[in-house]
Amino acid sequence: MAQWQDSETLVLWITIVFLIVLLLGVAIVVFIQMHVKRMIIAQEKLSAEKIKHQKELLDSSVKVQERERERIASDLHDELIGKLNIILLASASQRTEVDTKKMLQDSIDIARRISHDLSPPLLEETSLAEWIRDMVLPLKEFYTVILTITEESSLLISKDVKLQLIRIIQEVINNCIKHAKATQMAFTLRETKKYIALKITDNGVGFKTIEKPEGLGLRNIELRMQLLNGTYKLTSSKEDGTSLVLLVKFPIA
Amino acid sequence: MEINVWLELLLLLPTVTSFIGVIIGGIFFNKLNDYCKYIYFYLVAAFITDLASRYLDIIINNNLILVSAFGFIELLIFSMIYYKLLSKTHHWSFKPVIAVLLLLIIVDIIFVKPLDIQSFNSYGRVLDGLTIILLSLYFYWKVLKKDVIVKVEILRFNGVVLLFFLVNTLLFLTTNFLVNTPYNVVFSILLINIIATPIFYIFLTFQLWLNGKIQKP
Repeated sequence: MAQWQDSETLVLWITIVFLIVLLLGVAIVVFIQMHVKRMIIAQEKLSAEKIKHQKELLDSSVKVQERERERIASDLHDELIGKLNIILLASASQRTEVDTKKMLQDSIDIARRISHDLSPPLLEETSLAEWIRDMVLPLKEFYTVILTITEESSLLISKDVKLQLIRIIQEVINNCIKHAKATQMAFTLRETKKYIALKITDNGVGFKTIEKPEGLGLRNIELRMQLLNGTYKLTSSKEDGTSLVLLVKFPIA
Repeated sequence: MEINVWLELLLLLPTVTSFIGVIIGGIFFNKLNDYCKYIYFYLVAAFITDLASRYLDIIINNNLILVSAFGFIELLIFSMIYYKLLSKTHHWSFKPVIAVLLLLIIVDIIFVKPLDIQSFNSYGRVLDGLTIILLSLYFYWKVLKKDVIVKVEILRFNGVVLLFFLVNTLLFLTTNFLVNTPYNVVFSILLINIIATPIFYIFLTFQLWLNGKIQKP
């Protein structure tokens, strides 16, 4: 009988192998258990962050609504009501120096502007490219505006998508006018059957994108892009200004 | 009490614990989810096999056929459990490989003449244990790859299955080498299995209770 066949040697080796395999098994179980627990904790943290972010977005959307209401109230109070009061007083006192006809025309224009701000007219009939052209037209008086539009498809973008994109462009233009101190703005639109891509850049002072901006503008953009199930990328630096790229893929889920 | 009485009581433990599992699993059966229903079937199979082995021992003084037969049932049930747990993420070869292994165990039962104590071996049982260990490791791999999203309860189940079958398979594997070893040494090695088995059944019963308590009918 060979030495390894000796029962004592055999039992000893069996015990050693048994213990090694068992220890290995325990180590695998403990390691994976710990790893998965860590994974679950990280996932929970991520979910909590997402919920917190969504809450912030919701909060922003409420604030944006309130800001819009305040702006409309202020437009109505400062411009329209002021003019209508003057017309009322002039007609009551029979004063001829007030051009009531002109003031009425102004009031109608103001009311029309407020109405258009609230709901853009002919939204369904007008293409997104035409909308952008209309929006950037007044800017040409103060900025160098570069507009590049590529329409590969005659696809009709739905009214809702158009409205959200128009609001985003309005927000970007407002931000640029208020904060960027830019001299040049560029708009690049590309429409295909599969997606709409829009790039808006300026040569302004920029800001640090790592720091969360305090204003509601960017959150408003993010919220609207979420509604469109789209993605966006914002880059900004003091040297190169700010660039915003929006991508909306079809069909929108 | 004499040592033999203690040993008799110890040998009764797997029967008692599997019976408790059958009762508790039966109470919660309708509330159990799919993989726990298979755990219940496993406990029922274990209990019936235990009773049958005692009966065969009394009648023909040889119950070795049940070692491989239980290996077949064990592999069948655990492959079903892992099939459910892996849901749609398992490899296409899962079913064919299990089918071939089950066939091998049947071949082992037919050709190894289990009624002949001299020629008996526990290869069928080792094959069954190794396959379950591999299934358990495969499941861990899928969890780490994030292919399967698991609850802590299922992860714990997989860990216990891996450890139990490591012990169980090593013990069955070594019995083939211990033919010349004195009976008391072999018995002390088999004693580990006698203790590990009821602990495993208690854990499975706890798993059934936990699942039945939480799940809605």
